[in-house]
Amino acid sequence: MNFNSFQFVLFLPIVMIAVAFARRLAVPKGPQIVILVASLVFYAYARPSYLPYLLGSILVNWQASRWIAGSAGVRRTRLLQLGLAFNIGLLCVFKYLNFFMGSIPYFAHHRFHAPTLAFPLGISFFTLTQIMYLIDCYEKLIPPSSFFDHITFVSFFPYVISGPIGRAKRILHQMPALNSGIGPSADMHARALYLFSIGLIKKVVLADAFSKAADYGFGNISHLSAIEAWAFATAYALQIYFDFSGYSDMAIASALCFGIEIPRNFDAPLRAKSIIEYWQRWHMSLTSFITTYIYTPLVKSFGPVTLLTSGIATFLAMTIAGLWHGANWTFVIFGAIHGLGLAVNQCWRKMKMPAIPKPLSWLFTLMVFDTAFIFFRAPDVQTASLYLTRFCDWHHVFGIENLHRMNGVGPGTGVMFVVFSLAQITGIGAAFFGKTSDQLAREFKPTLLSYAATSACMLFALFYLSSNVVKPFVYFAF
Amino acid sequence: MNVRRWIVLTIATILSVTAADIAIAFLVDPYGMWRDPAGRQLPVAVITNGRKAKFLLSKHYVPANFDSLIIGPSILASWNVPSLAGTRVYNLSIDGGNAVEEKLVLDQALQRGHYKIAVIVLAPINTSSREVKGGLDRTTPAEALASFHLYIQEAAYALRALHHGAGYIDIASNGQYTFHSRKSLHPEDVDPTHFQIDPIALSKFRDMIVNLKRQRTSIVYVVPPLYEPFYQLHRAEFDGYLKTMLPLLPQAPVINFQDAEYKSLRNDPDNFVDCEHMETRGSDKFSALLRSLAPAALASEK
Repeated sequence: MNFNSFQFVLFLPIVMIAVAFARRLAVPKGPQIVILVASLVFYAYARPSYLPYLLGSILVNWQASRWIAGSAGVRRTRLLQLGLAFNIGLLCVFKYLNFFMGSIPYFAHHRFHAPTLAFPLGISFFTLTQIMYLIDCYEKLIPPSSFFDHITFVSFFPYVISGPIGRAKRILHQMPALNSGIGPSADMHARALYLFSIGLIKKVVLADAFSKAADYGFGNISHLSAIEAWAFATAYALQIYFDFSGYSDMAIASALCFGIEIPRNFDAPLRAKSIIEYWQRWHMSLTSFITTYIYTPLVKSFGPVTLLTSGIATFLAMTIAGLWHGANWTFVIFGAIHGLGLAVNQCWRKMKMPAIPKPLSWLFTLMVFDTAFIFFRAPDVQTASLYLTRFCDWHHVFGIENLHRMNGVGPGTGVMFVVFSLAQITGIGAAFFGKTSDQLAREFKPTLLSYAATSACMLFALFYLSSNVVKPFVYFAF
Repeated sequence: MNVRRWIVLTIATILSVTAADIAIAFLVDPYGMWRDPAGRQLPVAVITNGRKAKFLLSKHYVPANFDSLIIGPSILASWNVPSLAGTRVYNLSIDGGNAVEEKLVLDQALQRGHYKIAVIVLAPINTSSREVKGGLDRTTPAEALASFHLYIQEAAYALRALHHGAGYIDIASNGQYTFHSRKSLHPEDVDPTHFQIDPIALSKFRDMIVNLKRQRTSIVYVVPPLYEPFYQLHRAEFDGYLKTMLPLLPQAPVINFQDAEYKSLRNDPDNFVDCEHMETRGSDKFSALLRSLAPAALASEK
């Protein structure tokens, strides 16, 4: 089930009412039972055949956490390694088997035919969640939880499919409050509604308006001027930002409806003035995972920490993170560009190189992530390379003909041209200058203005949804 | 305002505006979806999405009011053919349409309707691509309750009521489409892919005709007139396309407006907006020809 769908707009209040009812009946752990059932229904809604994969993964990881907790020494480490191997193996089988097999003919002269397996929805997210859980259990940061708590935590519907990647120690301790007789406050509900409306408008209206532009740009690569190539790459960055941050806002708001706070995922990343700052603001739950669970073990494994080992670890960690996004060399290069950018950024800081003026460093950062996003969007390395040549086409720098056409009036457009153009202008303002949704939610006050804004956003987004021009959520593919 | 009041007010506003939206959609019902469409005249203000409008009109309005169809891309959209051999004709032509899209729209019309005659346009655009544009394949009846194109129709109805006039119409109540594009009669090169035959588009095109024939609908193929200098420039491709296509389609009479006898009409620049689409004047002339030729063609088949 998609957050930006009428089904979810009905599903969420039904679950809220059911939880409130369970709370009133004072059934022990009643609200949690309702949440668990709702989460499983939510997950199975798209394709019930995916549910056994999720449940199987949960069961194995829960058992592994019990065994880890009950053992010591080498056996404890071996059990953790076994658990990690299971999770990584699961990702490899469902996500990377064909990628690896497809890559082998480059190195050997044999062609392998791997079976095409169904790609269980959200596997990348629930697998990372459980890797973190196992390591936290191993490090004794959390005690192993009951199966009921574990399955509720992993399958919690606001984040099971596309994050934010929840960390057990932040979520599990909120379960007693979920089951208590006192539900979330009216203030929490109001803030949730406010944040949900912001997320919905970001996903439904703003992301789709930029998607229109980006699709046009990527469909006409060979005709783009240099300035258009940069503009369309930025449009794609804006599309992904509004798509994913809008989804994250809706996830956070949905969890808030049950009194559960999940970590924020974005903090105006397009305003970052360095790659380091960018990753502190973009997909923050993933950054936290990369830093704690990939970079740190890697850098420790290299011996004493030096600038060089730190740079290599950063590069490798980001390349792995790139591959996590998708089974394609384009994603590997996407990660590698960011890894290289972060390593250079770290060196620049540590070696106390002269500071770059802020507007210039912002522009340079934007250019780096625009470049990386070309690989994120392109279907293959050749297409991305072709796009990159447009970035520096000195014979055709200033043409803007394609920018005029990007929302073009063709069959099936018309008034949508105006809607897209206005949405794009609003989106640029919101991404580069406005308050973040987290700031807005924190500063929320029940005023006439917030009432009008919430109602208008919800209504506009719902009517937009009904117009059937909305595209699916990009991160569903991962 | 306290928080509880804020929540109640917000939810009440969302629900009441949604209810008002649905009520207005039901009352105006510009696509004939919610009230009995028989006998109604439903024109369309098309500045947003005329293709979706024709898709939705095909669900109830077209079957209830018409018993013949013109099917094809925009080439014949401007032709005003209210009746054909005593039947009422709806012009189902869609802007930039290919056979996949035309079939999507026709399928709606066939769900409830029964048609005596179908005039099918034979033009390369029908089969050059399978791409479904403008979200036509995702069109749902809910769009007749809330959507931007619905609001445009509602606004047009309001403006018509206020001005007591018949303005703000782009698609007439019989589906005829008026072109507003600027006149441009420079014979230009055509992308060679224009004449390619996409297998999926061809199969949908055939399915469309087979489905109509299954209903015992009489089929007439029409080869549309092209501006003569343009036609002469691409004659080999257009004639070649026709020669390839006809054996691939179910048999039916063909009215070919590219024949020599219509050359003088095709040569008159006043008849065309561009090399393929017609001015009202040209449309009227060819529509009259179609009205006179189609019954004879159908009779000859019998």
